[in-house]
Amino acid sequence: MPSPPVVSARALCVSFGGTPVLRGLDLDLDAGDALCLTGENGVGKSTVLRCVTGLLTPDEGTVRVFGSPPDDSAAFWRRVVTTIENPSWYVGLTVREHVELVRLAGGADPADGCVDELFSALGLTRVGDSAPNQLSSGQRQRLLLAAVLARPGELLVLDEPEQRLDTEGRQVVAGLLRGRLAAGASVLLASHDPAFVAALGCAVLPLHADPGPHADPRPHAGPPSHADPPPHANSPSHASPPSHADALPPALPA
Amino acid sequence: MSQLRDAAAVETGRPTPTPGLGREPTVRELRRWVRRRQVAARASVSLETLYVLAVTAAIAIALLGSWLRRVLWPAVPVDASAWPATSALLAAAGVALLLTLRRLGPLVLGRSDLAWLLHTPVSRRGLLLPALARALCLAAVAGATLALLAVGRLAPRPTDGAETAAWLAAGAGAGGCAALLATAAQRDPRLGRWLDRMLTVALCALGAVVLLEPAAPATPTIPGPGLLAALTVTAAGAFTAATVRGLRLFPAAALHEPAADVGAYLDSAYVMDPSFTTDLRERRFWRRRTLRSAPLRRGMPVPAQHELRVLRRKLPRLGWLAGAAAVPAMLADGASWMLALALVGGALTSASTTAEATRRDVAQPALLRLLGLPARRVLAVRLLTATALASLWCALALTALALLGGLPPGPWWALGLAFGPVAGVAALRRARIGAINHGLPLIDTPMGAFPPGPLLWLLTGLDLLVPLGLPMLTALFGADSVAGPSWQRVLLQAVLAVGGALGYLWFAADRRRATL
Repeated sequence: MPSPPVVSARALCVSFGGTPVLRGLDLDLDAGDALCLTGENGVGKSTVLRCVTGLLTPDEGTVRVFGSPPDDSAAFWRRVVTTIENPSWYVGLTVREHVELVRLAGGADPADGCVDELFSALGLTRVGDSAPNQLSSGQRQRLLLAAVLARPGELLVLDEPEQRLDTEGRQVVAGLLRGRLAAGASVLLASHDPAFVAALGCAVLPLHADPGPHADPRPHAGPPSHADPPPHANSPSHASPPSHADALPPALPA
Repeated sequence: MSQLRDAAAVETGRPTPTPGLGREPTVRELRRWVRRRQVAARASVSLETLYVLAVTAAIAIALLGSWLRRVLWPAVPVDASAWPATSALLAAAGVALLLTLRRLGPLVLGRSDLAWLLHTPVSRRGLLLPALARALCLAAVAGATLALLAVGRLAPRPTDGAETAAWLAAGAGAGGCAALLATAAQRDPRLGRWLDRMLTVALCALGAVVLLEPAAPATPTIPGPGLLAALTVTAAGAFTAATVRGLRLFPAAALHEPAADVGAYLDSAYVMDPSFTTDLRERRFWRRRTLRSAPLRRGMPVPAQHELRVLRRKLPRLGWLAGAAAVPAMLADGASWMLALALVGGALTSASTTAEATRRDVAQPALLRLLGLPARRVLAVRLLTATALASLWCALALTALALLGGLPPGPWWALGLAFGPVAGVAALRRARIGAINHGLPLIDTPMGAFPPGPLLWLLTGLDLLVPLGLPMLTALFGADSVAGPSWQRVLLQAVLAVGGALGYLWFAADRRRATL
């Protein structure tokens, strides 16, 4: 008997001030899979992610995460990790202490080497003793990703994780996410970078601004379909990694 | 810039200079040009505004005039035995004036001047002269007021008018010197750090004098104020001339922080919302500290590790708080309400030492969601920290008060410990309210409508502190009686405090939710 999808959205409709953003969106995401929402600015990528994490209630339709509607409970947030909101980092703690705090709160050992590997991969080692408000915007984005990846979680909801990162940084993050996928986590993300999506090798759901129901990449538990895949994109069902996978960092402990 | 230059020339009636060949506009001309456009764009001061200001001033004088006269000029001077303590308090007020000047700048540019004029090729001296004049005037007025307070308390009656005037001149001169010293410290960070340390030592020494009340000389002698006035005014004049000469090369870097801070304070006063000045103070505190990561350990709750880490890094502030525990003892001879206010204020300040994390989590709960911890557990740990700090501070303050302030004998220290949870709850409640709600409907009263938001903001925290802390507060108000607090009172305070803290956690924090 197939397990229920990690994320399931049906007939999702959201309007802002009378302007429809989402109309009847359906999507499913299975455990261990990744799905990337693409499309131009304003088509509703972040809106979908907000609905999935319960930060926004849709006007119509249903969202279920791990079989239940998303709520603001600590139990929900222990399973779901997101970068949709930019945290207001605590004063008096260093960059490294923030990431260790998040890892410890997730029940993992902050001294198991994961934080070291993340800092090394994301180029944060040099700024480990800095306060977060002393970092550049790109470094803050890396800090947020480090905190998210340090947290053991079953579902990662990432809003444009490649933004403000240089080319090399994007490849590193794609490799880290592939590691989390290999460890059994699911990833739902929005992205503007086809190369990043290709490096991640996941299914793509393009959203369009035109009215009418959106396409579903895998309607109702059917096999994954790749609507408008980017060049060199890999399906999650494909065993072969991207051609440049050797250059990516190894998977980190979950 | 050339447009400004041309416009400045037109406004001042001078011929338009040829770009590249004519003279540069002065700061005065630029300011006048900007001011005229601001006046044209904004509504000018109306008669109605003047009327409201005049009526407000008249009401303030009618309400506070007699009280102010008593404060500034009491009917009789203090006893000779109280001379050392009174003099030390007045000197401490002088040191506090200098510290305030240091904290504010004292050279403060408006944010528009900072953004548009500081980095333009206009005379730095012309730009900073009005700021220096403002600082000098304010400091001179404050110094003269302190001198008036001193004469009112120390001079025998009847006083000589000429001598009083000389004292006021001496106070104004000393105030001006303080402003110039603070300006020099603003220019030179090394001098600033040294001055801050000296002022801290001086405050501690003066506090010790107030507490220990050394014996006064048999016949206290007052030096002649004429010479002192001549000296201070001459010194202020000479230092002013030297400072004005040095303004030409005043570093721009030293002007940014005061402009931002004072701008934020003025904004805060304008919108009647002091909440975001707390964040400003916290940022300033941490900006000056170098952090070094220390590994976290398993086995201890995450919020507890966070709290302990912040506490360890705030040790200097804890030192200040420990020193401030002597303040209620200094006020022991004053009115009971002043004593209660000092105790409640100190307890709330101690309990709020680590409250910034709560403020941030309320304003932006993303990090709390990332941690995935239940709100009640996080709040419980933070309440423990706040309670421990407030209990220790209250116990220390009440012990000092009992020993030095002549309170009737009794377990004051235990009453202080028992009051700690109440202050902890009140501090956390205040940390969670955020900004003032200005959207509430106006309340009509016979004296006119008023917005309830600021009042509710002020009362938040106190609404729990007063009923839960009644045993301690009534003991303070009854401190004139022969008997001190009984152990039954301590027990009642402890039961109320612990019950209140548990009730607050139960009703105000969700067991399941991850947001405060």
